[in-house]
Formats: sequence, C-alpha cells, structure tokens
Amino acid sequence: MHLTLSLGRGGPDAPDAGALQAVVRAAERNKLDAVFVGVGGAGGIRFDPLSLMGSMIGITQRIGLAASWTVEFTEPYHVARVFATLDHLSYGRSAWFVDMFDTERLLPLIGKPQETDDTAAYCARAAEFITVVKALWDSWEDEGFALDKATGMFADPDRVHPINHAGRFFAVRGPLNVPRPPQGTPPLIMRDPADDAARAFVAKYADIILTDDASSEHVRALRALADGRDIRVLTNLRCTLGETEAAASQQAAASSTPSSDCFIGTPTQLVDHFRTCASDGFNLLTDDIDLLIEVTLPLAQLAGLIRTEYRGITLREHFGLHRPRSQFTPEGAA
Amino acid sequence: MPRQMHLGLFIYPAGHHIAGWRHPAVDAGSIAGINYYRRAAQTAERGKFDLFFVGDMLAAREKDGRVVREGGLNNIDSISITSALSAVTECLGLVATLSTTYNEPYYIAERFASLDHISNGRAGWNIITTANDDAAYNFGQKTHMEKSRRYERAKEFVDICTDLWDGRAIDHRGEFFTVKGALGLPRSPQGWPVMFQAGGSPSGTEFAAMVAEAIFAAQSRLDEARAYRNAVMERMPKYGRSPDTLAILPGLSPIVGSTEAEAKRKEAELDELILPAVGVWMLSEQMQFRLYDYALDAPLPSDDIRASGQAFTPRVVSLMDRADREGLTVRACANLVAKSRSHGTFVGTVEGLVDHMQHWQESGGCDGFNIMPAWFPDELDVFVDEVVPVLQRRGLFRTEYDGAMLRDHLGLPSPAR
Repeated sequence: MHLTLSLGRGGPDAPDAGALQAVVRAAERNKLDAVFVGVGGAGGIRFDPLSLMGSMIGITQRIGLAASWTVEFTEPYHVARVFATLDHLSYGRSAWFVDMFDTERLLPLIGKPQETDDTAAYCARAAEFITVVKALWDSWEDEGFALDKATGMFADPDRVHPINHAGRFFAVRGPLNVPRPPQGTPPLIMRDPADDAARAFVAKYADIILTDDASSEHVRALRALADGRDIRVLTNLRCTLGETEAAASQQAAASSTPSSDCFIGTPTQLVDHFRTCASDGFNLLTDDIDLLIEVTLPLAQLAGLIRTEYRGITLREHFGLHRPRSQFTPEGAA
Repeated sequence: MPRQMHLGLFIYPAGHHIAGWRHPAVDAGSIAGINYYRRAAQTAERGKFDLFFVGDMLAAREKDGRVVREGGLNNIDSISITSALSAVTECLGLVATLSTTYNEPYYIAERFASLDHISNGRAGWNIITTANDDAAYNFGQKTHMEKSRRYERAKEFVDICTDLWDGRAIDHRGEFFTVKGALGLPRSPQGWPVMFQAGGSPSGTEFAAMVAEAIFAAQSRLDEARAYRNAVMERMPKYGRSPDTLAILPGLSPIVGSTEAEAKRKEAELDELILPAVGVWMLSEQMQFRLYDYALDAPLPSDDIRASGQAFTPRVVSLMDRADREGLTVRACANLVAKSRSHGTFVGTVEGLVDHMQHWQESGGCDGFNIMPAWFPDELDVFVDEVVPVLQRRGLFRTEYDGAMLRDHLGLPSPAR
C-alpha cells in the first residue's frame, strides 16, 4: 500500500523550515511514497508551498515531493514552468497538488472578483487551465532536448511545438521554455470534493485523489468516474498517536480536531488499521510526527504493508503510474 | 585597506558562452538537475562569493515561430533553483529574477519572504519588467506592455511587496493591483530581500535610483560603466537615499590561462564551436533587427539598424558604436554577442584579470562583478581556485564571510520598517 504525509505550510508559531525539512528526511528514511507540502496543517505560519517544497529537493534523493498550488489568479504558463523546473531539479520526484474549491482563502489576498461561484463554470476554467499546463509540459517531446554536440543541435525544432492555445479563458502560444519534465507529466493530486459535479471533474483530471470517504463503494465510484484512466485513491487519515491508548486519548482530548474524524491509538493499532484499507493507501495527517515516522512506519514495514527500499526514483514509479507520451509525439513513433 | 569587491556568480545552463554546452568537458545533459546547481553554488561559497544569481525569461528562445536549434534553453524557473539551494548552502546570497509584468504581487511577496526565512536571510530579488512579445503571447496578450507603463506597474508592484514584507495588513487599491490582507509570515530576517535591478535605459535608471540596492549592470566599457554608475548614484538623493547603499556589479565573462597564449587558445577553441546562425540570431534579437539577409563578412549595417527606429538598449548602442569605431563585421559582432551576450569579457592571465577588475573598481566603474563563466563547471573552478586567491592577496576580497546574511555581505543596511 501507499503512504503519504500531509505537511501543511508552516506550523503554529515560528517560521521554522528546518523542522519541516527534518520531517521529510525522516519520512524518506522510512520510505514514504511522498509528502504533500502546503496541504492540511493548521497555524499562523504560511510559507509559500513552492519555496518550501523546493528547499527539500537538495536534501532528499527518493521521496516524492508535492506542492500545493492553485489555478486561481495565476497563469498556466507560470504553473507549467514552475512544476517542470521542480521536476527537473528533483529528477522526477515532483507532483502538483491542485488546490481547488477553496477560493475563499485567496480572494481577499488577490482582491480580484472571483471568476464565478458556479461549480460548472469554475470547473470549465480549471479544466482549460490544466489542459494548457499539460500541453506546455508536452510542448517539448522527449527528443526535443537533443543536445547533439557534434552537429550543434541543442534543441530539435521539429520536436518542440508551439501549442497555439486560444480558448475561452486563456490564450497561450508556447512552447514552454523548459524541456519536457522527467516524468513527462508530473502527477496531479486533488482532493475529493463534496459536490458531484466537482467530483466528476476531479476524477477526470487527477492522477491521485485524496478522499475522506474510506468505504470500498466510494473508492469504486471514484474509479468508475475516472473512466478507465489509471488513478490512485488515497484515504485521508487524521491520527492522534500515543505510546499507550491512555496517552493517545489524553492527547486527543487536548486536541481541537473532533475525535470522530480521527484515528486515536497506539502505533501498533494504527498498523492494524492500515490493514483495513479499501483504497490504494492512506494520506496521513498528524501532529505526532515522531510516533508516526519513527515507530509506526517501521512496524508497517515489518508487517510487509509498505516498502523497505525504494525501487524507482520518480514519484510516478513509487505509485506505479506509467509515464505518458507527449501528446505531440507523432503517431507510430516509438 | 582597499575598498572590498563584491562578487556574484551568474549561473547559466552549461555556460554563458552560447557554445559552452558543446565544450568537451561539459555534461550538457545535467544542466537542469539539482546536482548541477548545487555544485556551482557550493563552489561559489567555497570562493566566498557574495551571491548566486539566476536570470529568468518567460518565453522560449525562438526564431520565426520555431525554437532556436543551436541553444534553446534559458534558465529554468529562478526562484525554484534558489529555494532548492537554500538548504544545501550556508552563507551564499541567493538572488532570483522575477518579472513584475506578468506576476501578481501577493504571490511574489510571499515567495521571497518565504525564501528569506528558509535561507536565514540570504534572499535577493532581481526586479525586471518583461518587454518581449514572445512572452506576451504566453500570457494572453497581443503585444508587450509599453515601457513607461511597465515601470509604473513595477513601482506599484514593489510598493505592495514592501508593505507586505513590513508585516502590514494592507488594503491596496491602485491602478494595476488590488490587494487586501497580510502575509502569513512574520517579517523575514533581512526585512526585505535585497532589491536587485538590471538594465540601463532611462526609465530603468530612474527606477534603479528609486529602489535598487544592487544592480546587475551591462556596460562592457569602463567609461560607459562609470557614466552609468554616476548617473544612478546622482539620482539617489532625490529619493532620500545615500549612494553608499548601492552596489553595482557589471557582468564579466572571463577566460583565463596560465599565459596569454593559453587563454587565447581556450577562447579560440570555444569560438570555433559557435555556429554562425546562432550568433546572427542572437544579434538580430538583441538589436530587434533582422540581419539574416546581410553578408556575414560585411561591416555591421549600423546605419540601417539605426534607421529602423527602435528604442535601442544601452547594450545595443554600445555595440553599434564599437562596430563603427572598429569596423566590425556582422560575423564579428555576432561572435561578440554569442560569447557573453555583449557583457564584459576578459581573456588573459589570472594576474591580468585581477588587474582589470581592480582598475574598474578603483576607477569608479563598479563595486564588484557578476561573474559569468563561459562554461560550467571548469571555468568557475578556475576562477575560485586561481583568481579569488589573488584578489584576496591584494586585499580586495574577503577571506571569510563576516556575516550570515546577504545584506551583511553587500554592506547594506536593513530597511527601516
């Protein structure tokens, strides 16, 4: 099964990036699939998720690194360029956590009127945004980055394509000025929203969906909506851990999270809970990082539930997601 | 003790010489991964450089709608690189270039405040405006924004950022932006990132005098550099600023050898690798004038270029004047541009290079240099291992970092809140 960790954007008090970097290093020692930077987490400190995630690239080798970034009040060219860069820098370990359906948070900051409060219209714009981002990632075929020293061909103009997008919301000529990312398309991660129309959108575009509904029926429903695309579904799991049940309960009593939404128990009990997984794994949210990473994960490894060594390098490889071809690759090409 | 020199390392994929990637010693396939940038940054830090500098562009390099065959990559996203380097370096300043023309101030303020926190006070922002149509087409525009408008937008953009960095909750309604709120971060270690600026046009010079704490300058001749430095510093008092709160660092792309002859041979080997097509393309782009139909070995048609009525950048004016003076051909000008994008170059011995740098500094042409190695990593290694010790021996350059922040290195005050 796959395990990921939501890391938030900062923390409650001081801006301490070093503490977050230490968590990611520990998570990598224990072979987690990925951490999601800027997802979940509470508190007054809000680092820019891209800068924070970027700072983790040089101090890790294998663990997947997703950063949360919105489609609101920005341009597809920026998003394509930033994630292509992060994917190159990390040798294919990046993912874009598409932060949607939460414009309330951004509105006062950017101050422009929201494009729409109608889900269908909102999704139409987001769909076009994502389509443009993916086309920009594809605008360099893999062979476009030719680097042929003998002939002096750095880029192959026949394999680098303007995208000439002229849509309802965006006009983008392209190509991107970054070669195709190592993963081809860095995976898109999205939350499973409550609204049906929004859910259909997410199932159409996400490679990895995070859901709060742990039932096997719901997971099947999401897969059906994905219409044959190979997706991964992770169940969000908030957990409060203690070395003993009593300690965990005490911890939970002091916490602001309603206990009904939260797993409360010991690392051993959490590993048992992992066995009940009806999806492809769990996305963990916890304040008890040490007990999760240093105690629970080794137990889960011993139980054979999660990997003990990374086999691949890229985030796609960790999740068994294939690397797509560029949409501009000619038919019949290898 | 002589005035201390400041040094930046301007990173560029493979090298600043357009054919640098073809050099036999360059691993061109490595130029987008973290290891490439880490090695360069750690080498610069070993050499006690003030800062690591990354440029930015918002469009692919292209000619007639096709990506340029001979050199298609410019810097990948600058602040992603500096963010990644923040955790693998200790003292080196980290300067990223971001445009005020196609970004939103809140996001940019948040990114630089975050980088300044994450790096413990080492962030710098090279503030640019974007003037090319190729970029406009990627952001839903039919043409680029007119120059004075770009600088008006830049000014409002920067004002919003500095208010946010000062920790204020703002309710800004301006001509270009509406922003209501505060950053979710306390004031960062440096207060503000060090404010860099590049470019020497009249509007750019005025903007620099108003906001810049450091300038990546483009003059390749000492008299021009001195005139430019004086022009900016003269204008600072009218904005309530003291000229000693500014460091001007022209670009300098050196090729050194143990003898003059060896340096010249290294240069010649690299110049051999320039394809004429790419040089002429770079020259045409820089001059905003199509030179493709002119004979390579005829003199640069500077009269035709001047008659085209463009508002030329100082770099272009400087190159045309030089071509007229020295009778340079299209090919010679193309090679000059291809070598260093017409920034300053020096080919010679280590001692000669240090003499050159010292002369520029002592003549009031600069406060240091943004070093542009012709190819990576060899020419950077040579600079750090052979040139820096001579600078240090002459008392021109630090042997240890005095402080931990970029403002400490550059001797800049923290901005008052």
